[in-house]
Amino acid sequence: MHRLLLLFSMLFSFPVLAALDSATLGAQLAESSPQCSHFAQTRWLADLEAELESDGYFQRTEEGLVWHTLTPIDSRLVLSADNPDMPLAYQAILPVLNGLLGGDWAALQQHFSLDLSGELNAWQAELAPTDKLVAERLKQLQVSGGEQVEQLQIDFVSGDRMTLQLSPTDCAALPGDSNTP
Amino acid sequence: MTQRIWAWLWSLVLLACAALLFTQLRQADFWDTRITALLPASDQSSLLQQADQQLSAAFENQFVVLVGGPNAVQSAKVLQALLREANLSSAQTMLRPDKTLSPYRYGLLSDSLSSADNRQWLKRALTRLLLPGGSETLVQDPFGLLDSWLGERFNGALTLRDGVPTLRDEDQLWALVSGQVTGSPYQLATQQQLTASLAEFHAQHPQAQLLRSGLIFHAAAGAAQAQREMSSLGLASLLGLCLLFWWVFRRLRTLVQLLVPVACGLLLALPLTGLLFGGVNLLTLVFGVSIIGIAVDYALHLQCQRQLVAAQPSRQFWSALLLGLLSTLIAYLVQLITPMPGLRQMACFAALGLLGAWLTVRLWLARWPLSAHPATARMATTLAPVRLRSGQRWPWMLLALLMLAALVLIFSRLQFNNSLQQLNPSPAELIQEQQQVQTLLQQPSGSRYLLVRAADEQALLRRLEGLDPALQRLKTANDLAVYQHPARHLPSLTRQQQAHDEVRERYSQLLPELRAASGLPERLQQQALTALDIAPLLQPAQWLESAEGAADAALWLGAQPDGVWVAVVALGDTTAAGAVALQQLAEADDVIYHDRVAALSAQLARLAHSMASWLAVAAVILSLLLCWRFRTAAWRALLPPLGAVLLTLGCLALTGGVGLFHLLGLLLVLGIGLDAGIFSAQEPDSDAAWLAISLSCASSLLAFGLLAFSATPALHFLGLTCLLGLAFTWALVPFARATRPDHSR
Repeated sequence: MHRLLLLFSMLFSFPVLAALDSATLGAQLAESSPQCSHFAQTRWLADLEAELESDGYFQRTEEGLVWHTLTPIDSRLVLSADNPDMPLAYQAILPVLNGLLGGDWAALQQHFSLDLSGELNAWQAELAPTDKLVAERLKQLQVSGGEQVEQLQIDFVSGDRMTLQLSPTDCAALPGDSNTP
Repeated sequence: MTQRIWAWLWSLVLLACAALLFTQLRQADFWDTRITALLPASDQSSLLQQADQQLSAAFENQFVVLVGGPNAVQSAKVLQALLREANLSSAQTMLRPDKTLSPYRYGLLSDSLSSADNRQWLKRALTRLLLPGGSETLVQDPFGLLDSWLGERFNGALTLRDGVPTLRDEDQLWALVSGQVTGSPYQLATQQQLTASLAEFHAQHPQAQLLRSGLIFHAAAGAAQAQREMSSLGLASLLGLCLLFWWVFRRLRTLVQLLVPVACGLLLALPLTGLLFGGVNLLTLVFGVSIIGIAVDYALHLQCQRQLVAAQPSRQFWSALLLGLLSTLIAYLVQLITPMPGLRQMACFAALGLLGAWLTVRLWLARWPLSAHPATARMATTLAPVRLRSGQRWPWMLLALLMLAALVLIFSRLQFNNSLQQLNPSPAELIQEQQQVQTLLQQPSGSRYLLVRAADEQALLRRLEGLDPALQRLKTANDLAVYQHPARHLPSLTRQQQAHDEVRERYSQLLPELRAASGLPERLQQQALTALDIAPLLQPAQWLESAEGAADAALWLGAQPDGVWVAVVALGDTTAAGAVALQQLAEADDVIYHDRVAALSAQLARLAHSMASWLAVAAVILSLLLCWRFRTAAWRALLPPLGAVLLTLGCLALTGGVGLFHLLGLLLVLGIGLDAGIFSAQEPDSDAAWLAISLSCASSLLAFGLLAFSATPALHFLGLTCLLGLAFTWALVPFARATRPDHSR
């Protein structure tokens, strides 16, 4: 009986264990990452010992990730290496963000070592930078979600911290110029 | 008896030379591949020389490869790794001006921010603030002063992708790989390493497109070409000669006897030239191999004389042979006066080679047993009638007409052409790649610059800043592709203080607004202002001594012995209007405009003019010498060399003009023509001399004429001139051998 139980548990848990390798998760995220998503950003600014909150939505387009903040002010920015308005230091962070929000898990693994836990429909990942340029700025990343990335927290070397809450949304229902980026 | 002693002595000399050559060939740096060695030693002021040297040192050892095509970034990583393995990687990819300049950011205010209004500043700050994961330097630099400065002044076009610097040109993405040569870019071993790394990369990534820029690529292309030609042209020349001589003499022993003087000439010339010049340029060797053509002359004359006239040649024959050597040596040694070390080396090599060949003929060959084939005599008899009879008028009229036409062409059309581009041996493809890289990276080539002087360090920086608006206008108008000077990265202390004041003003106006818009605490304002107040100014030494400032240090000549401070503004390509504007800038007392290419071209032009004068002087001296020697028959000696020079110049007048290397070719034509003329005057009726002259012209044509097919422009011009000149020389000998009226009657 004991043995049978063990066998059963092995049989049932096997697909779950297999599912949590990064390739499967990557495939799932690549497939189901939403085109558009609402975000709520909270930033902890260590220098000022202050928190800054903003929200809006982002949209994945051909020219890059369009980041549209609605509050506290309305601001639209294309997150692309070709955009001259981007801070230079941001060039190291950009592939990370594109990898996380665009479901390009393979790109992420070039810069981070990955520690996965949970199940395919409720997973957590801790990412530690292996890339020198990235490690100069980012201490670690914590990502969690199910079918898509739902929450993302970045700890910066400077002591700053950023948390993003994401929820998929219909692109057509978005306000402003989102349909004509 | 004395003859025998001299012959033994000559053997000892050659043995010593062989030993010397053996030790030299074991040295790694015996072969020199620098094509620039052909260029004249500079005669400009010491300050310009210093600037040239400093710029060369800074630019020569660096190279850049832009990688394009699918997966450019990954391919670039592979190439960079290959270069690192080959010890050809540059530290430049590690440069971080953002770190070095971070404390000084408030003094480094970009033009674009300075001219932007408050609304734009505020928008910039808010954008950076709301960027997911951006701007950790909020308190230190809420408006992104440093980013704006870096983007404007440091390769703004470059963006990092995956840690690799990239730039976008329309639809094409280029990834940058930079390299550095330790040691000289002219070293064959280094060039081979680079070529091997690139070949390996090509094998792995056949689809990747590469744009190469750097002296080492040009040096490698030149060296590869010289080596290729040395083996192909040299071998073709040697094979052609062997075939020709076999056809005429048909005895293996004769063939060997003809080649021994050539070998001995080379054996004398190679180690001694190496000893005198501390190495031998590969181009000298290409040129030197062609000396085979003249070196074989003396052996030919002796062989024909012994086979067809007398086994022991007369005193007259030996004096004619000596006159041939001396006149040719005069023509060659004129090159020794040129200030071009490469040409001096070639002249020395040629003179030594000829001397060695002549001595071998005089001391050894005459004593060796003779072996004759009847075919030689038949050939001489067949050739003998090719001379003008006294009654024949029309060939003389034709010749007079041709000479007249040549004279008309020379006076109406002949131009000196000394553009340096014409002499550039690099493949057009490589030159174009280099230009494309310089345009994409906005790097001035360092071949054109302004030299700026001032009383002290800060005054110099202020003067550079004063010149900047005019340069910027030229650049905006596309009259100047790019420019760089130290004050672009290192503002004067006055300018930095002004920037501090301007930033403080903006802070006091904008920080409250930024707080209101973002909801950040009041502490932001105090902390940002404190950071500004305690910030230091960037001192020149700090920047120029940093790794990031190395490029500017190359443009900074610093304090001169007379107390004046000097710096360089490196300039890119200009339009004609741009060049005029730059010359106007240089009308100020403290600015000098210098175009290295134009200066070198002018130097070459001066050289060509003096060479032309020397050619005329040599012609006059030789005419006098031969008139004294041959009296009324002197015209026979003078017609082949001088007539050939005239006709060749006439033909060259129809091509792109005459440059230095055409003139050097004419000197050779003069030398070979003199041999032909002297023997025609000495023995106009001798069939043996005529056969020897014909063989000499044919062999020299094989040796020099083949250079016309060289892809190295300098050698091509030399070869073309010889091809024409030697053909004319041969065609003129039947005139010089024209029968005397008293003979025909």
